[in-house]
Amino acid sequence: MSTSAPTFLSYPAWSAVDLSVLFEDDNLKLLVKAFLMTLRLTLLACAFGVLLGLLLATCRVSPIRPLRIAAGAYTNFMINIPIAVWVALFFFGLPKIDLAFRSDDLSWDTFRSGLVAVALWVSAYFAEAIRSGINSVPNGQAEAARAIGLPFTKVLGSVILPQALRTSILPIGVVLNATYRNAAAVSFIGVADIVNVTSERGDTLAAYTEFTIAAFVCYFILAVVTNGVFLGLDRKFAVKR
Amino acid sequence: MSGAPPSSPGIFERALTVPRPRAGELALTEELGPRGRRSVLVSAIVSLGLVVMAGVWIYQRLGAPTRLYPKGQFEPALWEPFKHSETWHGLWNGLQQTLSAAAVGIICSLIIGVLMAALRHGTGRTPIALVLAGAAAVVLVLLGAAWLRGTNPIEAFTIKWWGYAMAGAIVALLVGLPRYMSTAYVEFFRACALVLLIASPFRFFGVQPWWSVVFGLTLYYSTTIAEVTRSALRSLPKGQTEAGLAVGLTPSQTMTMVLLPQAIRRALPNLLTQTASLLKDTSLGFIVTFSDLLSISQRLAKANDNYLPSLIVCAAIYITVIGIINFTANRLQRTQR
Repeated sequence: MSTSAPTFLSYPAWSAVDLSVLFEDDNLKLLVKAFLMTLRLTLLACAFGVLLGLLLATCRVSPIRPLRIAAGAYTNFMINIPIAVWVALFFFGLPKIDLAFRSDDLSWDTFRSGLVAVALWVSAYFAEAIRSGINSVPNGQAEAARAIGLPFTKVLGSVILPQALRTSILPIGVVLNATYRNAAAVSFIGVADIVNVTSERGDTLAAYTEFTIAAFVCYFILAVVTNGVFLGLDRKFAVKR
Repeated sequence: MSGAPPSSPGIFERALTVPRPRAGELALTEELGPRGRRSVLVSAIVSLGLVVMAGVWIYQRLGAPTRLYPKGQFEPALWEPFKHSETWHGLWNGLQQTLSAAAVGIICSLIIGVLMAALRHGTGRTPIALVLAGAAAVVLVLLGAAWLRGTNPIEAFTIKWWGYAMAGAIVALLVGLPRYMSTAYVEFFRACALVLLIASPFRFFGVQPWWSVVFGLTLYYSTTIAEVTRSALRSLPKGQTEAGLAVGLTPSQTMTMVLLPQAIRRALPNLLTQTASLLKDTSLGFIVTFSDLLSISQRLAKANDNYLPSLIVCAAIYITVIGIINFTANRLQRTQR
């Protein structure tokens, strides 16, 4: 093997990649923990985000202008600023105005800040997904609901939203899938998620390649499982039009 | 017209309520009666009060004295650094890094993405597609060979792997691989985490941070752009292809002269949305210590001990730049309708 000549790239040989390092000591345990951390953070953030997104979408289609403007401003504000900035603002910024005090447990502090930032950020995306679902419901449905004398809350809650949510199953899955990857921004503040743990272990063990491959595999598993689940849900529940 | 004339809403009422939906929106309400109008007006006033209260609370929270900042966040000393040109010089440097990475990234993604969309949409057996797929196969085989051998790809080019590369290319041409190749490319990189795509060149090959960010963004966003362009291509009427072929254009000419110009025009708003998204994702460069706008702001914040003002300025710059792109996208969408 001729590795002596200086090349324009330091090119690692396949033979130098030794995946067995992932199974040494407690590396595998750490990886599983990191995987669960990403999963927990994303699922919690998305559970909260869907609820807030539903509220925001409702505000945006309501006939009340202040609510429409406020929800629209919130959505644009959240979407147009990168998630990494939000995470930094929540973790470093809030304690400065006495809103999120540091406790003794740093990992809990970072998790809490990351969770709130991701949840608030992703709610804007869910709001957009649900709103496009609402707009895809045919006008005749709302007209029919009004014709039988339902009030606005019933038109929206019992007729439009059930159909809209069933239409937005796939878009919600897409947002969830994007959230796994974008939630990696919380490793910026040191939450022990997949990206953070694989970087840190790869650095200490000088095994960047192996741990990065492991991280790719983790995200692939998340993406494939989520895709499968949401495709199944969509097939079962989506309104065929 | 019989019966009582409907009372017209006043200016105050019109300012607070939305009587008619815009195009493309679902009409959830129609002309309201007096009772409906009154209840909507009352809710509007109440919600306006709540929104104003929330705003006032945030403002007070920022201005209130805290343990760390006894004079609150509006104290002039905290904003003092933004009066000096050095601060703005640093921020401008960061913004330049962000914008240049995003610009190069979006140009590369557009080239690769449109190419992939065209390959996947087309028949896959035109000369251009075959040559491209053959070249891609050669490069892939060389890279793989070099990795296996532990050499540089250029070195690998000079040794016997050249034969394997040619064999791979010929196989690719015979199988008519272009379509499958672009499908595999798009489906693979779309499922990858962008942070890791950015980190990989840096960690595997020791690429500089700026290039690493551009590389990762290009790999990821070329797939999303390929999908956007492909759906635009599919939305074109079939007659366009038939007409192009009927007047004697080759399939490649039909694609480049008839289909792509129309498809890109249709996809333009979505492409701009992708551009905005790419620009935001440059901030994920923190993983390779890329000194973009966010990391410069962080550095300034640490140096001046003014975290909130610095991050607020940083967020304001992001929202301005991305707002301009989104505004253009919305304008285009409206003019196209």
